[in-house]
Amino acid sequence: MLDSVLDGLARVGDPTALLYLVIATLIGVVFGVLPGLSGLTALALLLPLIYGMEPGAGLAFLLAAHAVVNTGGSVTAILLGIPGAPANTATLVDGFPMAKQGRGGEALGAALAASGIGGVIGVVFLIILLPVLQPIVLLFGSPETFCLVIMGITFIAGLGHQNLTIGLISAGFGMYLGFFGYQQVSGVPRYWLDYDYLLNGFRLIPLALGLFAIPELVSLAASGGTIARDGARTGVLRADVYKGFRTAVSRKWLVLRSSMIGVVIGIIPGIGGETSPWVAYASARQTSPEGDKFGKGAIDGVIAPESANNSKEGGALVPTLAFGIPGSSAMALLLGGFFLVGLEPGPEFLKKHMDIAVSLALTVALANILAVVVLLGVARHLAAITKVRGHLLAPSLLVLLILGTYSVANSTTDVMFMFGFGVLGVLLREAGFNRPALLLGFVLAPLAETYLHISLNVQGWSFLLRPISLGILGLTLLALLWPMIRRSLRKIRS
Amino acid sequence: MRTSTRTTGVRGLVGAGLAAAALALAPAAHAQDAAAFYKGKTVKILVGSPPGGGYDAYARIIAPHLAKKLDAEVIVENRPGGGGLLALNMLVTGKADGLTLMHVSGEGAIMSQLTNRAGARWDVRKLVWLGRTAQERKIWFFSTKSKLKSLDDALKAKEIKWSATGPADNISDVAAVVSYVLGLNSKIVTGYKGARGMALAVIKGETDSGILSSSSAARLIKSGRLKGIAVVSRTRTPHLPDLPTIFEATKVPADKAWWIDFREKIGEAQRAMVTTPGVPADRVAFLRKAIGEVLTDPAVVAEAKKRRRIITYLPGAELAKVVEDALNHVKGERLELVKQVMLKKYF
Amino acid sequence: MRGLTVGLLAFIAVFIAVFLAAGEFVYDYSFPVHRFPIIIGLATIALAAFAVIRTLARPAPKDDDGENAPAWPRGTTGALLWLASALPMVIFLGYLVGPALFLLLYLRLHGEKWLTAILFAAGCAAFIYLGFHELLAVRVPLYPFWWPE
Repeated sequence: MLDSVLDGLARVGDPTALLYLVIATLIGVVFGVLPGLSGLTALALLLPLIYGMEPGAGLAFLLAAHAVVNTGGSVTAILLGIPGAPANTATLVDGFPMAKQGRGGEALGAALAASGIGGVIGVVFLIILLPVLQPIVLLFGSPETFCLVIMGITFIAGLGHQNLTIGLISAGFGMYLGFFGYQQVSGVPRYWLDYDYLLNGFRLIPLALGLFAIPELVSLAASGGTIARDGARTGVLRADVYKGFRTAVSRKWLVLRSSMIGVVIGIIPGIGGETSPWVAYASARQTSPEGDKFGKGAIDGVIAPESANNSKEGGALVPTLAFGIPGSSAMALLLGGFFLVGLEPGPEFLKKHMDIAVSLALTVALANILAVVVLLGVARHLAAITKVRGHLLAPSLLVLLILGTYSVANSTTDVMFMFGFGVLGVLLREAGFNRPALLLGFVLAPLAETYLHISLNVQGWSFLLRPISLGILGLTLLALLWPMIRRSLRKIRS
Repeated sequence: MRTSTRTTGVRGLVGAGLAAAALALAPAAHAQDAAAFYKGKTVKILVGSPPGGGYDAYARIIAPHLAKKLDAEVIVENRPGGGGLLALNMLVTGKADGLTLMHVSGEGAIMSQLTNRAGARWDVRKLVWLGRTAQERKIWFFSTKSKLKSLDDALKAKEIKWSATGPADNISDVAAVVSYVLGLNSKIVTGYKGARGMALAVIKGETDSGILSSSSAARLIKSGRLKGIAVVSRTRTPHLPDLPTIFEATKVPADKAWWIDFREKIGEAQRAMVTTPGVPADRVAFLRKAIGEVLTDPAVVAEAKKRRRIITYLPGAELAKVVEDALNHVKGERLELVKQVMLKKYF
Repeated sequence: MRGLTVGLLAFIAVFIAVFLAAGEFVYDYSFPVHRFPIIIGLATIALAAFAVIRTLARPAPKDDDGENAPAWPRGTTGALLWLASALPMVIFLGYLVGPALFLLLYLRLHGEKWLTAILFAAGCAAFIYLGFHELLAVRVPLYPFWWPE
């Protein structure tokens, strides 16, 4: 094992490999920063480019680019309130209010630190688990996945801060929308109205961008002013960024816990990467003594999701490398990359090419660190975008969104739906509905349905008694009751 | 292209005369026409799944070589959705000019049609088959963690659980066929995400049994993760030469053997290039020839092999016959029985 | 904002109800297929109905912030319409001319100088062509659908 680590290090240290790493990282960051272009799109577009590259280098190229998309995406999420990728949506809930208060630099610094540390933690776990990768993946079956999905769904309640009823309705509506299209289990397309596009139901990226990005653009366009409100300090000093950075570094337990959440959810194939930042966010909120500040500019609300959405990369590599089973749709593309360069992840791969596996892990870590360094350097200038006039910014960003959405599946219909959801998003925002709950319900409900069906068919209701399932359900219950427990504990002490 | 028709007297006669002459000379001119037609144009190869998958990989291997043969630009366009259904629908409802091709799961297309899948707008008999790129046999395997240790155990078992992704997914239907032929007490659990997700479930021991294409199955069987039981075919597979066929491994009732043959025939169209129904015959011939040359080019085959993709070419015309045969095999009552077994009986 | 809230709640309830009914009576989905949507859908409708009643029963909020009870922000409708205009432009003019023209018109009619507008529009077209169409090989339809081949 140690030999492999050293070999892996040597691979990564190779000058050509390093060059690819740098280029890929920069590309990934740019993709992340540009709203509408997600990590998935980045991979899809870069995949054909690695033809003919040396296998390790080609894969490292893809991985490095993908690993840092969410780091770049945090920039747009915080400064513009527009998720650079769906996984950054959780960041904007607190990050954007911070930007509006003139604390954008601080938020950026915290996000970058969290991303970097989270990414590295994810890799550390991956490397630790490499020798025992397969047994780990085998531990998590459909029942465990179902319980994790349930945990995700219960955390939805923890996302909104005002009206529980409205939050539940938002979630319920999102879930209902998630049921459109093919039912995974039966193959019957629900509510497709004889319209081919709807066979797969509504799509995630048009929904996410429409619900979150378009309303922000509308606000920008309506006010015509800058994002950073008048009266708030619009300048972003280096000091601010470093302050945020240091804050994130000091919140050790929060970062660790959020990264763990990202890694675990990443390991389970079948749960999308979009879920982990939200679960981390909700968990941070439950356990923070300043839980009510979340949603209005709490820095923890930026640190938690950003740690999770970078650490999940390390987790997603686990089933991918262990069995050739993609831990996420991005990993499915990466798998394609493996085949393209003539490699096959799986048990044989780990035996023969452990050094490549290690080098890939290290690539992710290095890319994360590099991205953070680069972005820190330009953070001040990036933050200047909050000073650009709304009339210039809004239409330009909209064009980017249109192109990005089109790129996902070469579909103008996606673009049309994005606009449709955009209108809905504006209305929902003004009426105070809980859009994150809607999004999560949309993602999670069909998963719950599928995994419940499988679990029941495979084991009957006793699947709930499996040790890990019980553990997850227990954690969920604990997290739900934690605020109450903490209050009682305080009362007992005082 | 817009044409205007004039019906005024002399012009009409001359036009008709010229047309007659052109028609008489047509056959010789056609090959020229097709080549001229494609020169400089943009040809699209649709793929019904995201980049990186199997269908996409083959398409991208073929594209540059086809571009040279056609003297045209050939691009691959990914249109994921509905498990390839969306892209195929797009193909058959698009313009029949031969500029849009698709690397399709022929197997999936046939199965979808047979099972009346909602949303399928094609008739595989009318589809223009240009050539098969690859085809693999299906392997039946058990989990190493299952209580069932051998085929005989399965025959005697009170219940055997299978993993699959959904109805007519080329996994569950094969499982259903095997179960029906051998009289197994099967329960097929659908809903797993993708062939790999389904394989993982069997590896974990969540279910007892599953079906995969030979290359994917071979990997897992050779590494000891899965236990190979039989090849669902009359012949063995080169990927696992020691694995017996289902006919060798057990006694297949004579009156039910046709099920295996039938399903295998459908599987022959596993990966294929197709184009829109109604494309002019000369262009079809031109495309078939070009694709045939590409897929039999040793350099292309070697390039594909480097990327872990095996090419098993079958000319378009023959493929069309295979498809026709497979469908003629099941009509009327037999079709109802097939649908009942493949969609309802074991789910 | 009560009107908007109630309106949205009603929309959600009606939307779900319509599709549930379609599922049951028009498409005739079997129970295993329709069971989850029914459960979630009915629960959501019930909650929505409850929320509507509760919202209407409360007196209209004018208290806390005095006049600043959340109202439809000024200019939102106009901005929404303006931004929405990008869609038909992209559909009917293609992904090259459409966005460029959109930027040109938007910037000019929102007070930017001609030079700025033209530069942005040109830059946009260049970015789309070079960046997306060529570099990333995303074949956005450069020509509108009605353009003869």
